[in-house]
Amino acid sequence: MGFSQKNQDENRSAPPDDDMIIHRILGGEVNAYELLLNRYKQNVLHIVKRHVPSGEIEEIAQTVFIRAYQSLPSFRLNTDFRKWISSIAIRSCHDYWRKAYRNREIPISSLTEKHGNWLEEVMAPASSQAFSDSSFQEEARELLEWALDHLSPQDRMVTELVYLEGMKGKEAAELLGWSTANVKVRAFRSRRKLRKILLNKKIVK
Amino acid sequence: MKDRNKPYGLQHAFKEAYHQRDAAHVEPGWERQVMRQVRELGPLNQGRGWIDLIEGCFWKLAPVACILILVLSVALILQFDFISEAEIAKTFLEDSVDYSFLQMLGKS
Repeated sequence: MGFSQKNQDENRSAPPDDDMIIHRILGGEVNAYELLLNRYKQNVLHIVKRHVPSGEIEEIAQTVFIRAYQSLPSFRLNTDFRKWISSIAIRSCHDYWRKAYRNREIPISSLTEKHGNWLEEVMAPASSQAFSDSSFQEEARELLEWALDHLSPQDRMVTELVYLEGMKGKEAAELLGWSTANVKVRAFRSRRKLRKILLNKKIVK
Repeated sequence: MKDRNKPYGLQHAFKEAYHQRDAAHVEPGWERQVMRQVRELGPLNQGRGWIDLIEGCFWKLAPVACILILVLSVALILQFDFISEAEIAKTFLEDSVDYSFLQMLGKS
C-alpha cells in the first residue's frame, strides 16, 4: 500500500507528459492547453522570430497555437509534439510570406553605398573584417533582408532553413511538408538566384 | 584563395547576421490572449462525424467511381444504338430525294 501511495505521489508531482495533456484536451478540458502553450512557447517564438519581421512575431505565434489547437484531433499520440508544432510554425511563416507577397505589403528596400562597400570588403581576398563587429553585422543583416526580399516565399523559406540554419534537405522537407527532392532542387535554384541578385545589385547613391 | 566572383564566401557572414536577430519579445498578456481565443473555440469535437468518414473514404473510392462511370457510359452508348451526326449527314447526302424534300420543308 505504501509503495502504491508513493507511486501516486510521484505521479502527482511529475509534470504530465504531452500525450497525457493532449488526451485531457481532447476529453474537453480546454484549460489544459495552457500547459502545452507554456511548454512550447519559447520553441515556437524561437522559430517564428527567425522567419518573420519582428512586428509580426506575436500574431504569427498566436496563429501557430490556434492552428495547433484546432489540429489536435489529427495529432498522432506517441509522436514528437515538438516536431509537430515546429512544422506548424514553419508553415505559418511560409503562409505569412505568401500572403505578404500577394498583397505587396512588404516594400523592397534599396541598397545604399555602404552596403555595396560592405559586400566588396567581405568578398575581398584579404578581408580582415571581424564578423563579430556590430556595425558589420547590422549591414550584413540589412543586405541579407534585401536579398531575401527578392526571392519567392518558397525560395526564401528553403534558403533560410537549408543555408542559414544549416538543416538537411530531409529535415527541411519534413517541416515544410514538401518532398525531399523538391527541397533539394529548390535549395539549389534559390542559391543560384541569390548569387545572381547579389552580383546584379543596384546601389542607390 | 577566395573567388571574388563568388558571393557565397558571404554565407558565413550571413549566417552570423541571421542568428543575431533580435530576441523575440512578447507582451506579458500574450499567453492569456491565446488562451482566451482557445476558450472561444470551445472543446474539440473528437468524435468523427459522417462528413469526416466520407472525407476519409473519398480519395480511396475515386478510382472505383471513375471506372464505374466509364463502364456505365459504354453501356449507355450501346443501349441507345448511338449514330454519329456524320453518319446522319451521309445518309441524307446519299439519298437525294429525301435531301431535296427536307430542303423544301426547311424553306417553308
